[in-house]
Order: sequence, then structure tokens, then C-alpha cells
Amino acid sequence: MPKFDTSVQELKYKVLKEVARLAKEDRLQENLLSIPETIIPGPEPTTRCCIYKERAIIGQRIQMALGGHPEKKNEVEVLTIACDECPVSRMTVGDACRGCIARRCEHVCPKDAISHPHHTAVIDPKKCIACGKCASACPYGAITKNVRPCERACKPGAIHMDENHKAEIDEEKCVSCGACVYQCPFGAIVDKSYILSVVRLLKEAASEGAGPLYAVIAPSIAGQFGGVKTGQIVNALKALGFSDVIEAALGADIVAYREAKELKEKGFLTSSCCPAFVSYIRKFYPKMAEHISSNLSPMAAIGQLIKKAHPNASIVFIGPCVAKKGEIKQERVRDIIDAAMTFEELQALFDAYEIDPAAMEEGVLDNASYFGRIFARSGGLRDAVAEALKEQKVTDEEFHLNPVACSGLEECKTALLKAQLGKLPENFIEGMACEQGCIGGPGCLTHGAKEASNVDKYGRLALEKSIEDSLYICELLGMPAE
Amino acid sequence: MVNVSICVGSACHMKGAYATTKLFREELEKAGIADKVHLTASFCMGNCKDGPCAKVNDTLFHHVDAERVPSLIAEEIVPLTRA
Repeated sequence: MPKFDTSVQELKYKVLKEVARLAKEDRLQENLLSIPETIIPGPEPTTRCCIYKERAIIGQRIQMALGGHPEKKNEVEVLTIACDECPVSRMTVGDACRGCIARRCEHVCPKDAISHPHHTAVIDPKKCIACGKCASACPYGAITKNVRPCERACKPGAIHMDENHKAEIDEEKCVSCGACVYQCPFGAIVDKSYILSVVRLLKEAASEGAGPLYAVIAPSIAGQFGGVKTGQIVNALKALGFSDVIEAALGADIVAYREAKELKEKGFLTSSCCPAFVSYIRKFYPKMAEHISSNLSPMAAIGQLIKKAHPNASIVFIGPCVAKKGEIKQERVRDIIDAAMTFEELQALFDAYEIDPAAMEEGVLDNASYFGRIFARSGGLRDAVAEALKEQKVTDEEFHLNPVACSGLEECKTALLKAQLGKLPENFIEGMACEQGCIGGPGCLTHGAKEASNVDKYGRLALEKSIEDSLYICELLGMPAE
Repeated sequence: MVNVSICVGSACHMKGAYATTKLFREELEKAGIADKVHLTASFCMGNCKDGPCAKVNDTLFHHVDAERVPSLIAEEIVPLTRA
């Protein structure tokens, strides 16, 4: 069994694997309804009240594995049957309450929600707005605020409870970062999967006269898949049926080079690599949208280069990211990338095709520089832009780079708020919606403390020592990064 | 126009494909046929073990390392430019 951080990931993996396996064998349609029973054989329930509820939830997971509800614009959905366990009342009075006579909690409550009927504070959940004033006022610290993990994870504030106390996502606010997907302890929020598109592309690639099928992998792959080396993943992808594997980090080199030029020209920019960050700006700070770099993301930049060299190619992006699934539907990217999936989904695909990366010989993967590879962690883009300016021989007098690297949407929010008021001292915002950058992405198999050092280590293995070294290939392919 | 495409996928790159492309440019100039050859690059040509690979029009050549470039140009490409 592959290694995951949580059992929720494992459950999701089992469904994806089964769906992919049946699709590969062209038996999905006739076996769709028997998947829940295959995964939850019973007779005893293991996670819920009964096997019938467990199976009903698997049914909803299958729907997500098949792409979810296309009418919903964002990339994450709530599984309504799976979501019912979190406490409804958000402010809780604990045992430490002495029923004191000061009753600061009662006096400070703006909604008169607190009373002391039996010498203990009681909160009326119908009146309580969970402002938290009582918790701050209590000298015993007896009142605690409980926030649902999904709501706490959702920095744009897109998640609230509906009238049945189930989580509901406001599509207008959701930026598809996927933080809630990883944080919900019941696996009740799930990212849409396009694994069937990948299975279809693999089938097409195997047919006669088909164009090449490329896998583009994100640099955050370093350290994923346990002890399996990236070179083994390359060969495992080829065994799946991909023609070749190319580093998204080469796209990152291209982006860093162009971003440096654009930044020098415009004087102030925000990055455009992270689709959830871009979406966050457009939805919450629309006045700042004009400052978003005009660059495509590294994924799209490398895709463009591949399609320039091989116009009949198809491209699958594999990364840690949920928001990328939405990015490839955008007008600028639609014709470049054919499908996007996560490392989680790749694991399911390997197992559906009975391919064990650990048993593979080590292949090679080298298209990008150290700087392109470190995009995977917070601060990597900042460092790459600094390097690109240096390589472009921009002097400090011509342009002085003063960057801020924002790890997670909360830090992005702080920087954007200041920038909007003209009070941000920095002139370049590196915005990553996930904490620590892409290595903290919801589609990662593991989220260990070592991930950033794994990325740096992988970066140092790059044959290309400078960004310009790795951009040589762009010139050869007739699409210089200038 | 003769189309020459050199594979710069990871496997060929590790075996020196970039050096091959650089040398190709120089040697085509030396042979005085740079204007008759369209030199480009490509991602994987599917023969990683025998790289660096190069295609001259539609013919695939293996082990096109720096040593092989001058003879490949003289034997395969120059005749095509005269055709």
C-alpha cells in the first residue's frame, strides 16, 4: 500500500484506482455500480455508522473521480453524505467555568446569547455569532472557539454551514486552492478528478499514427513517492504509455527570465505562476489585477514549447495542485495542456496499471536549471527572478529588486492589502496559495518537513547551472524566452 | 531545404545533444550550407538508449555525438543539398 499522510487520502486513492482500472479495461460502465461494494465489502463498518452509509459516500467519491458536477465552476465539491460530523455550536463552555459572579462573558456578548441558569455559563447557539468576545473575556479561559477544519483552512472564507449544518462552498469566493480537501478529517471535500481523460489519452497514444503524449511533472515531485527516485518515476510514466517526461521546471526557467524583464519594465508586479493566487487577486483585489504578471504559468510555458516542437502532441500535467485543473480550462491554456492531475492520482494510475515505480530502472530527467526547480518551494520564484536579473546584467541602479515571498493565502492577503493602499515597501510579490509553496499542495502524497530540502537537493542535481543555460533549448526549438 | 532535427529530450541531452547542436551550427557554416539546412530541435524521438538522435528529413540517425557530426554532414546532408 502506498504511503499517504492520512487515511482519507487512502480512501480517495482506492476509488480513483478502481475507476482507472476499470476504464483501462473498458469495463467501467457495466461495473460502475458495483464499485462501492468492492471497496466496502463489509459486513462490519469501519469508518461510519453502517456499511450502507460508507457505500453511499463511495458513490459520491466515484462521481468526483468521474469529474464531479461540470455545472459547478470550481474544482472542489462537498460530499454531502460524508459531511455531517463537525460540531454545530462554535463557542463551547468547558469544565473550567466556575459560574463566577463577574460574568464578563455575559456582559461582553453583543447578542445576549449567554446566560447563567445553573451557576454555569450557557450559550444559546441560535443567538451566538461566534465572535469570540466571551472567550477573550473569561478569566479562566473556560470558553473555546471551535472552527470547522474546512472553514479554518479556507482563507478566502468561501466555506460556511448550510441550513442542514453541512459545509457549503461559495463558488464566487472559492479559488480552488484545495486547502479544505487536505484539511477535512472526514474527506468530505474532494477535488474533481480528470483521471479518465488521462486514461483516454494513454489509449489514444497507443493507437497507430497517434501524436506523442508528454507528461510534464512539477518539481515538487522530489521526495514524493517514498524512496522512489525521480528517474524511476520517469520510466514508470513511460511504462504507462507516455512518450516522454519533461520538467515543468524548464517552464519555470522561462517564466523567471520573462518575469525579470517585465518587472524591470513595469516596476511593480505580482507573480502569475500560482493559479489560486491569481484567482484570489481577481476575486478579492480586482484593482490589483492589472499588476499580475502577463506570463503564463510554468506549466503552460513548457506546454507551449512542447507544442511548438510537436504540434500534434498531447500533454498531461502532473503536480501537487488542485487549482491547475481549473487553469487548463482557461482560454489561454485550453489548447496547450490536455489534462491535469495530482501526485495522488498518479499513484492511483500506477497501481491501476500495475506499474511499480520502485521496481523500475532509473531513467533521466534533465531539462531545467536549479532555479527552475526551486519554484516548488516558497521563495524559489523570488530567488529565480533575482538570478535572471543578474544574468540579464541588470545593475542595481537600473532596477533594484525588493521582493516579498508570500507563503499561503494569509500572507498573500497582507501583501495585497498593503500594495492596494500603496504601502507595500516591496516591488515584487511572489504569491503562493499553499503554505510553503507547491510542496504544501493538497495533491501531494506527503507533506513532510523535509520537502523543501528535497526540492533544493533535487535542484542542485540539475545539469544546467544558470537559467540562460537551460533556455538554450527554447532558442533551438524556435521559441526564444526573450 | 534539408530539415535536420536534433533530439534534446533528457536522455539525449545527458549524452551531449546540446553540444551536438552547437557543433552542427559551426560545421554547417564551415561546409557553406547553413542557408540550405533548417536546423531545429525536438523532444524525445523514442530511441533514448541510442542517443543523441537526429533526424535528417525523415531518416533517423543514432549516436550523433560531437565526433559523428562532421561525417554525418559530409555523407548525408551535403548530398541532399545538391539534390
